[in-house]
Amino acid sequence: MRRLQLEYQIENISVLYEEGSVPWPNAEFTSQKGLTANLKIWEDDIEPEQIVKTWKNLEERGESFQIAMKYLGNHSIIFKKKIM
Amino acid sequence: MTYYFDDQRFTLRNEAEIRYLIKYLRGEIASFSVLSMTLPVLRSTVSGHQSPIPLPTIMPLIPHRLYGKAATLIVADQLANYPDLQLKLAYLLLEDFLEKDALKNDKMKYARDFVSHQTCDFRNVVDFIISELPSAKLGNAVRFERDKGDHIAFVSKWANLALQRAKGLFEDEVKCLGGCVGR
Repeated sequence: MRRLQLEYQIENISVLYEEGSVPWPNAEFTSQKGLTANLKIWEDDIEPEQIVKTWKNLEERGESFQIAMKYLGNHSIIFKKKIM
Repeated sequence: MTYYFDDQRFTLRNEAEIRYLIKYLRGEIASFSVLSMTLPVLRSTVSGHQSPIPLPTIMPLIPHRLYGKAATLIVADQLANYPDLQLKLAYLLLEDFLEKDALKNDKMKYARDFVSHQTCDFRNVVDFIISELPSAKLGNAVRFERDKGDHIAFVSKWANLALQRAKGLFEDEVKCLGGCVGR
């Protein structure tokens, strides 16, 4: 497996979602207690030379999701990149 | 950012580390190690009763070229105490989405004109506003006053209609461009 994965800790969610995980294509969103969540997004079959470009694509996807969440009523939502 | 290479896992934080990793995987350097850390997590407490809603089945995404319009709608949503500003913002988007003359004789345009001028004496606007909101009459013109409840109620109605219409057009465009806002 050659996977590049970006993970965000999400805080200050305003919309109360059910707790649990939902799988999306190349992504997984986990809603937790206390209006926090976790988002993982990834691309598979990434060779080391493709990391920089793919990283940018993943960040754009994360930003696109963040704006969509704000549009859906989570005006104060905060995304923090998780460093593991 | 985490990179999985066969059974190995690497934590990457910048392009220098990526270059270093590529060299390591090519066998040009003997080891790869970076400091791992975990950010502190803030906790917030909520009170009140709200029923949880199901998680979106499709990942919400707004295409990059619509970020500006999304931002306008996000701001408008937060201006509930200022329906005149909401109406102006929503109308800006309607002008963007619709053809030039689509709103020419629309009552929504008259409502927008009403809140956009200190006093407005455009004939069509004056006739419409006086018929709906007689207290706005000022000589041969009309005037919006934010401290009058009936003015706020009238403008709120049009602001909500304009926002609904703008959101509908926005969401159609999001969908056309391959995004989703989960509604």
